[in-house]
Amino acid sequence: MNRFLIFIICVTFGWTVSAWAHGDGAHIMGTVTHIASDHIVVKTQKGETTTLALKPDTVFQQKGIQTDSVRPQIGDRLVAEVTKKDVPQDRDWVATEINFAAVP
Amino acid sequence: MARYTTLARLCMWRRIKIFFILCLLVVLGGILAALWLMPGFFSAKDSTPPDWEIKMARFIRHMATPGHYLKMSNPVSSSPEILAEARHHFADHCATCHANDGSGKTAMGPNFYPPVPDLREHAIQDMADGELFYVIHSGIRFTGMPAWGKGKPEEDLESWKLVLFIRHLPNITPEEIIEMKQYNPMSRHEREEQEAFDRFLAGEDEAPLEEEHHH
Repeated sequence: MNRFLIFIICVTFGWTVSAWAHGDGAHIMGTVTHIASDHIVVKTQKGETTTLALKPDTVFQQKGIQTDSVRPQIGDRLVAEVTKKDVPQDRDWVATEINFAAVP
Repeated sequence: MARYTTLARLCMWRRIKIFFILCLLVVLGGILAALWLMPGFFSAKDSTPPDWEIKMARFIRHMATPGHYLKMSNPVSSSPEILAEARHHFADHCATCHANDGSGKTAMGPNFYPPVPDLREHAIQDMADGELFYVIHSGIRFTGMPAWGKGKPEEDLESWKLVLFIRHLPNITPEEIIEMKQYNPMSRHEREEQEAFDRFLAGEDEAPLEEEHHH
């Protein structure tokens, strides 16, 4: 009977569900070749061209300092934190954070 | 008589068993019905709590804070040294979820349910010092906020220093954020990666490790 009761208690109250997830993010490094209000085109060190979609919540940092007004210029170097989540059809990535600097 | 008693006991155990089995079936049925009715209910993915839920949860949390905490004032006085200490502590222990600027915009922050709040917003800054301390010291159930406090609350001066830093967050400077980065926890790989990014942005022409670093 005791074993039966323990079984009942375990089955009824012993359910736990764990879920683990990891990000789908990546980093892109390269030089800005084109910039528009909704996307940036970057030429990577391998010579490939990739297009990053910009969202209203994309964070821009100039040399590590967050900026709301300054945007990268053509020729600047950037390191972008990107994701494939909600990527528009004609873009390669969505940029979540862009750190940029003019080449000295 | 003895045989009758034994039979009666057997019948009683049988009834108890049937009762427990019925209870179990009802509970299992309820769980299955709930899962069927609310697919994805326990998923935190792409979920944002509605305003009423946020307000209700904050109200309940406020009501659940022991009254004397609401009246407590910070026993630690603010000074540049104390703020620097708290800033480094925050960068090391809190910024992984809350971000160095307190915005909550990190890889994990928006993916919690509820998402990590922006510590600079009014709803947080309007909390009493003691209430902020209580949240840091005791954590919040059913959220990602753990209890950081060890030992007696009155001895937990580290959490009080963090309260000072949270008050400072709306006025944090870009230089402070840059300084905090060196205190953020990083694996060796992440540190090497960050150094490669910094060198690249500084104009060094050496080719980066790879062009796409997945994390």
